[in-house]
Amino acid sequence: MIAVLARAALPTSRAIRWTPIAGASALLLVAAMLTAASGRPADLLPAVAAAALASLLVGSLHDPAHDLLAPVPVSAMQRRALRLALMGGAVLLVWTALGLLAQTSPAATAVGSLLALAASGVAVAVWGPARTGVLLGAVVPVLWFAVDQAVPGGGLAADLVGLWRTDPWPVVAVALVVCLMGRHR
Amino acid sequence: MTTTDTVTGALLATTGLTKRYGPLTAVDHVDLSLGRGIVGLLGPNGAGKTTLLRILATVLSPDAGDVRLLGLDPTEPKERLEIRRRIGFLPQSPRLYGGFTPLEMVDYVAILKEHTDKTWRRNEARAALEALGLGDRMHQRIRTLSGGMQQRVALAAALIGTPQLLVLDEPATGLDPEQRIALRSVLAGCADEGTVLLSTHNTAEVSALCQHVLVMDQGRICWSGAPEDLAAAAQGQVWESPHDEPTAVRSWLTGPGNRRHLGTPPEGARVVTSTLDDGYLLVTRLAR
Repeated sequence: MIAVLARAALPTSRAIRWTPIAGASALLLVAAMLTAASGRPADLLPAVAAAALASLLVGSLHDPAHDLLAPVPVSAMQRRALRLALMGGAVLLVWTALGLLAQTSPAATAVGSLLALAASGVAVAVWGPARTGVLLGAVVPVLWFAVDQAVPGGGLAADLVGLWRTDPWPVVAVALVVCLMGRHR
Repeated sequence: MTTTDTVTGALLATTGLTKRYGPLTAVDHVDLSLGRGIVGLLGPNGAGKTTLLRILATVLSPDAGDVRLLGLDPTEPKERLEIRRRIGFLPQSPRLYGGFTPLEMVDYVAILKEHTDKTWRRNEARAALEALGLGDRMHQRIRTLSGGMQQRVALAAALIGTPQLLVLDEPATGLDPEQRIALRSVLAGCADEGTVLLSTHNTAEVSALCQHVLVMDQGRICWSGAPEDLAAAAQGQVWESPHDEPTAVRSWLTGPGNRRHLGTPPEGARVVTSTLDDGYLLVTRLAR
């Protein structure tokens, strides 16, 4: 199966829409450079970037030819994993570049928060309705970020909605288990 | 209601196949046994044809009943994988990658069907596209092709690898008469290798192509047999007149000043030879 996926990697990369991630990455990198040039700390930028990149990563699961490809031996889960691997590589490159450019603490640009948002979105996409699952999944990172910003700090609610930043790896683990449970969907 | 159909030795068999969406029973206790040949699936919109075809293509799981495809059980992961290597599926209104060429699209499907030899894949893809009249378009971007051409690209993808079971959901949609004729030749060739099951609203397609026809309504197979037998089912129950007929269960305009009626003809009525359309309308009417 690995050989089949390796053979499918190039055409799959061509089937993915790269324009949204290219546009968002350019914007984020320019914002990081401008912030760095101004000498001000870019506290919010990594969080915004994590939400945007995670959302785009989940969005890459959208496959227009899904119906045609549904009964091929390579399962939907395997095809999704291939898409995530291809898009994930690009997202990690952008994330690393942002970490180098932005004037923030290493903790702010740790990859865990990005993965926590992305994995949560993927879990929702896997379990969501067939037609709208990917869309719902892509909304999750942005929504979680927005709610985290909106909830005042100090309480249990703030702790919970801030989990993707403060304790990202348990979030990733739970989301991965949820994804695996839905591997036949 | 259950129906058993036999063409020749079962490559596809179902028993009590049922699929529900909430309160709606889309497929209701369908029993089938189909062998080699082309089988047409007729039925009104919402009859459950697409759901049945998706189950038979291993895309959907039934809620109840048994399915055997090519002698294998699609609920067993290993057997499902083997079935998927040997079937072709054309969904209703398939979408493709607009940035691919037809050759790349069909080749991609062949890769995902685990065909490893690139030369073989390319040759198969070219042959399928040429058979469907896309020989001069195979290097053009799919987004620049017409709807009918895109439909044929998807069909070529379904045909790759000479599948033993070909499940086609309205394959002739968007095709002009010339393309429909080309499609018939291709499908006739496929029937030599295995079973072709196609859904359609076009009875002319069925009479030209199919050795066997199933009529589905409200999730059930309400009629099964040869196309000529379906036409004969309405024999003696079709007549024409210039006006409405109170005894007709169904009447429709066939031309200026002429109406065709289905039901019990009145005394002295001009009874005409029944067609497949008449038979289809009659059996779906009786099923309700």
